[in-house]
Amino acid sequence: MKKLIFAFFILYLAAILESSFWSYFLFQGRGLGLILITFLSFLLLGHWPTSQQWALGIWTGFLLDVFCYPGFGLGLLTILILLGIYQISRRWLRKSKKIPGIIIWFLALNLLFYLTIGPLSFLLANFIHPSLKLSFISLEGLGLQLFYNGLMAGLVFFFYQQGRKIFFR
Amino acid sequence: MRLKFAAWKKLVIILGLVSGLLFLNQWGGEKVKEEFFFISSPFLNLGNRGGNCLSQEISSIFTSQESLERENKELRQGLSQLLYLEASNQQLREENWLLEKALLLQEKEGLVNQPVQVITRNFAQDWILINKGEKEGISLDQLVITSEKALVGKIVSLYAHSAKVKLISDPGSIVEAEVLQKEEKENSIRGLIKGEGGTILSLELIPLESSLEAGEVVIVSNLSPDCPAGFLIGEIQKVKKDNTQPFQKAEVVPFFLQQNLDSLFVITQF
Repeated sequence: MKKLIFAFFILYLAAILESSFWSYFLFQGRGLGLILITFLSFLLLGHWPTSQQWALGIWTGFLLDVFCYPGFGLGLLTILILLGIYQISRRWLRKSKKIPGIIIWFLALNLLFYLTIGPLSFLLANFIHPSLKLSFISLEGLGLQLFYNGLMAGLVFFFYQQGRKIFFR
Repeated sequence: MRLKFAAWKKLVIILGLVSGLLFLNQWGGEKVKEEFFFISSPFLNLGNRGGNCLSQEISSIFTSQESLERENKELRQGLSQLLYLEASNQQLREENWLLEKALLLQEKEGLVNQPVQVITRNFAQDWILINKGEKEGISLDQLVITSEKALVGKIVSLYAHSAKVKLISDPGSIVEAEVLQKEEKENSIRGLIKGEGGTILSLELIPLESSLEAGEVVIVSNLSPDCPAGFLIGEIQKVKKDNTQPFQKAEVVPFFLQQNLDSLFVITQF
């Protein structure tokens, strides 16, 4: 339980940092998706029971809705879809323990997130509330976003692995 | 059987939560967001200050590196120094002329501004949140500018003590624009500035025969019905000319990106 509360706190911190500190460091006009990176890092690097994964997903979705996306529900639904696909795909694909493998998982989930959220926003805008419609993300923008997120996630994974080697040798 | 029931229970909880959140869109969802931002505002301010300081430090490091490189080049190429100085003087003269013209255009009478601070910004979705709202006299559709009179965007959502500003780079945004040309020509170039998302602007509907150049300044045109003319919009970065199309386009970098976005002004009357 303590681990989960700590993860909740770190995710909130990531939301604050994404909306304030990191908004000064744009890469070709794209901001860093720190909330998503933190959530996927927890998911890919840690060992969480399924119920705790859903709890983390709900909290991440809520934070995305509050800090990043218009209206309510868009971020949450996308994260829940992502988490569902991740849990199903894990039955067939083994979770890698090496950095390149983790990064491939990370990039695939990241791509899935950005590909899901666009059409979902159009769907929700039509059925729930027009304010839920998102700005269109171009292919170039998507590439840049994945590169920026992947670069930062790569650093996080690398330092995490080095830290584990030093402290848990 | 028990497992199946547990799975159903989880599904019902999640579905209930999602529908509850979607329900918030109709009633008071924005209020929840505003409260959350209010609680987080001390941390957001701290993060903004830290980000601002660090980004300025980093840019100053790069600037000093650039000037050292330039100095080194000048020493090596002593013979071409005079030529270099002449070229840079010419550049300064051009810049000065542009700034002078832009300043003259910006001197508006009867503009009433309200200074505001930025609480948070989301450039990926082209919006920012400011620290004044309905209670401080801010209304919907009011324009937001920087201290250097660069157009930032328009108020689209209003809360008690904060307001959401859609940036001019939002895909739904359109502004009547005019290009300040480096060389004075008979006909001014007018077009439309459209938001492309992700802080990118596009200057459109420019006739093919008009000569656009990278580095030229785009301002709000006097044909614009809901925005005072003369506000700075951005600088042309790339001209896209295709002879098969009736009009040419240009990619424009908004000025607000190059300026201090922490303190802005809301135009309450013009």
